[in-house]
Amino acid sequence: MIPPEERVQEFRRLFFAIEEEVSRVIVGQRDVVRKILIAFFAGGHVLIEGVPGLGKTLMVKSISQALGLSFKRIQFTPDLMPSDIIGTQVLADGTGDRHFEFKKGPVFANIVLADEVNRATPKTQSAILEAMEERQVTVFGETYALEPPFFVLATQNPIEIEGTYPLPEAQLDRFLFKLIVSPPTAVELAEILARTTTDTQYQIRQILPAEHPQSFAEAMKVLVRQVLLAPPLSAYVARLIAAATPGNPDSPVPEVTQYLRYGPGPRGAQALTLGAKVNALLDNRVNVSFADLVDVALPALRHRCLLNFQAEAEGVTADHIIELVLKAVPKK
Amino acid sequence: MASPSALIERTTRRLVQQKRVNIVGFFLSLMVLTAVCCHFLFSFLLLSPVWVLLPLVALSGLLIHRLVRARHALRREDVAALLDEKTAGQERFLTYATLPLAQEDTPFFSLLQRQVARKAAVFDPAREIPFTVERRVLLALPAAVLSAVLLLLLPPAPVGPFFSPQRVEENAGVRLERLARELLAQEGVEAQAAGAQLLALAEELKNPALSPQDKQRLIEEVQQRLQVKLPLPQLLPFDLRLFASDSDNTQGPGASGDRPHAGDAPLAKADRPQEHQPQSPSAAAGKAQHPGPPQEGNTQPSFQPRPSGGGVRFNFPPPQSGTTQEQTGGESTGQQTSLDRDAAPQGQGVDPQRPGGQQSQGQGAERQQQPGLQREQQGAGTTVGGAPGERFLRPGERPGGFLTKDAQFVKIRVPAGQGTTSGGKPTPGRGNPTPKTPYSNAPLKSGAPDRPQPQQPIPLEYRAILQP
Repeated sequence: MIPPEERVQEFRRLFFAIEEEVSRVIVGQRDVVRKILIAFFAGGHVLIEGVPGLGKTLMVKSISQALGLSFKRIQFTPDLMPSDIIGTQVLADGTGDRHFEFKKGPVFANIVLADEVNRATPKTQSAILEAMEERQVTVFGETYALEPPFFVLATQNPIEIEGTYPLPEAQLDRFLFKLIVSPPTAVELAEILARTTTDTQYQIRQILPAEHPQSFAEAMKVLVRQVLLAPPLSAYVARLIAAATPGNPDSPVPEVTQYLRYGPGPRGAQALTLGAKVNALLDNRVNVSFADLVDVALPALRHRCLLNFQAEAEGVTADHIIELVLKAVPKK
Repeated sequence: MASPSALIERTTRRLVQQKRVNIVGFFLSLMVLTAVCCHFLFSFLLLSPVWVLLPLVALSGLLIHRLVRARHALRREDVAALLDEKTAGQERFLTYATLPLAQEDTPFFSLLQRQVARKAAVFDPAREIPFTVERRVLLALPAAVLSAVLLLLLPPAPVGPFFSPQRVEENAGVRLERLARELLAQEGVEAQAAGAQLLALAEELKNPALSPQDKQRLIEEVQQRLQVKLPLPQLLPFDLRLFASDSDNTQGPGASGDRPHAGDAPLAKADRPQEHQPQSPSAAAGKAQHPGPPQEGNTQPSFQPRPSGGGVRFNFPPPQSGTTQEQTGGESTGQQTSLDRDAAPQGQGVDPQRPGGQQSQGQGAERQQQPGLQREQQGAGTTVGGAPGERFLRPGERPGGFLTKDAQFVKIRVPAGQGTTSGGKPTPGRGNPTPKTPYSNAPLKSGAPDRPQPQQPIPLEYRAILQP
C-alpha cells in the first residue's frame, strides 16, 4: 500500500506538471488553468465566461491532452438538437439484419467543451445538463452511463444577448466553478503572437500515465475526498452560506438581502469544500485551512448568487457581495 | 517527537495560569477600590464598618467563581488555533484537536499527526507564549494604588448632614472611644494622658443633659488642652466663624473672626483685669498655681480666637448679675472640675509655658462676659440711635456678627391712624396732614443726594422736540 505521504506528493507532482504543460501553450491565464484543474479533480464542471478569441477552446483542449483523456467539442447553436449531443439511434443494416444502433453523441467523452451553451434552446441545454448531473444519458428508454471521468467545460459569451437562452438558475447551480477569462495584457498578447503566428507549434505532452489515465484521474479524485475537514471549518462554510442567503435576519451583510434574489445553497457549500480540499493537497497538507476556502469562494459562489434588478441597475456584481460576506463572517 | 496532545495540554495549562493571574490582579484592584469607596461612603453615612466587608465578600466570591471558570472557559480548539497561529500550522493543530474520533482511523489522520508532531517538537509554550498583562488589569492596578494613597492622605470623611444630631453624637462618642483606646495602647506618657482625657470626654458626651453646643465646647476644650492635634469629631455640621471678619471692632461675643493661632497669647479674657471677672474657683486655683504670662497691656475688650479645630460657638447670654452668672459659672465649674478631676493634674505632664498649658488656665474665665458688653446687652432691643444695628441685637449677641456685619439698619415709621389714597394724597376730611412717604432716622452716608440735583441740559438734537 502506498503511504499517504507519497500519494500526496504524487498528486502534487502531477498537478503542477499538468499546469506547467498547459502554460506552454496558453499564455497567461494561470489562475484560470489552475481553477479548471481544481474543478476537474474535485469532480465538478466549469462554466467559463469570456469574450471570443481568448483561447478558451485551446485551453480546454490542452488540458485534455495533458491529462490524456478523450476530448469532444460541441458548438451550441440555436438549431442544435438534444440528439446531437447525447446521440441517437440509427437504423443499422448489417448482414441482412436491420436493427437500431445507438450512436453515441459527443457527450460520450471524458472532457466535453460545450461552446456558447447559451445559444442553444433550453431543451438542448437540458440534455447536456442532465449528463453533467447524472453521468448518464437516456435515449429511447435506455440508459447509457458516461465513462468516468466526465468533465464538462461550458462557455458563455457575455456580449451577445439577443438570440440567446441564458441558462436557468437551477442549471447554473450544477457547475462547480464559474471562471471569468479576462483579456490578455499587452505582454501576454505579444507572447501570443509569437507563439501562434509562427510555423512552430508546441505539442502538449500527456502527463498522466499512458495506460489507464482515466483510472489514475479517478484515483486522484478519491485522494481529494480523503482530505480532512475540521468541524470549525465546516461551521465556517455553513456561516458563509447562511450569510450569503437573502432574507436571513442573522446575516451580517445587509447588502445580501438588498441585492440578491437567490443565494448559494448546499451545492455552494459542497463546491467550497471540494475546491478547498484540492487546494490543501497542493499545499502539501491533508487538512483544509481557512485560506483554502477563501481562495475558491469567488469561483464557487459567484454564479449561485443571483442579482436582482436593483443590483443590475446600480452595477453591483456578485463578486462584490461575496467579498463583503467574506469580510463580515468571522472565522471563529 | 513531542506529542501534539501533550503540547496542547501544556499550552492550555499555561494559558489558564496566565488568565488566573490576570483575574486575581483585576479583582484585587477592584477590591481595594471598593474598600476605599465603601470606607468613605459608610463613614459619611455613619454605618458600621462591618458593612464595608459585604461588597468585599461578594467580590471574593466572584473572584473564586471566575478562577474556577477560567479553566473551562478555554476551549481546546481555541488553544489549537493559537498554536496554529504561532507555528504557521495552517489549521493543522485545529484539525488534529477537533477531528471526530471516527475520522482518526483514516490514513490521512496519521499523516496529519506526524506533521503536527514535527511542529510541536520545535514549539516551547514558555518561550512562545509570554505572560501578558491584560488591559483591564493595567487600568485597575494604578487606580487601586491611587485610591489607597488617597485613603492615607485624605482627612476623615465629614459627617453627613442628613442625620440626626443624636446619631452624630453617638458616632462622635464611638470615635472618641476608639481614638482613646488607640492612644492608651501606645507607649508614652503624653499619649496615655491624652487617651485618658479622651476617654473622660467620651463619658461626658454620654450625658443626655448636655446640648450639642456644650458637647462641642467640651470637645474643643479638650483639644486645646491636649498637646497633640487629634482628629476629634465635629458635632455640628459647619463653622459659623467662617462668616466673620477679622477686624477688631467687630469682635465680640458673636464675632466670627476666630482663626486658630497656635502661638497666640492666651485667651483674651485672661488679659482682663482679674477683679472684673468673676471666676470659678477651679479657674482661680488654676491661675494661682500657674500664673499666666505677663500681660501686654491690652485693655481693649476683644475676643481672642481659640485655637480649636473648628465648630460652632454659640455665645449664650451672659448670666445676669448674681444668679445667672453663678449658675453658668457653677455649670462651667462643674464641668471643668470633672474634666480636671479625670484628666491628669495640671502639674503632671502639662507644661504651663506651652500654649496648651496657658490656655487651660484661662478656660475658666472664658465664659465670663465683659462688663461693658454686659451693660450693652442688658439694654438690647430698646436702644435708639446707638451703633448701627445694635438695637436689633439679641441678648448676648455682639454687633458685627453673622448677617449683621456692617449692616445699616433703617427704622421706618409708618404714619398711624391716617389713611392715604393710592396716589399718596391724604384722605380728605382728616386732621393734620401726614407725610406721604416714610422717612428714615438712619444717618445717611456722606454725599447722599438730600437736595434736588441740578437739572441736566437737554441734548441739542432733542431741544426742538422736548420742552422743559
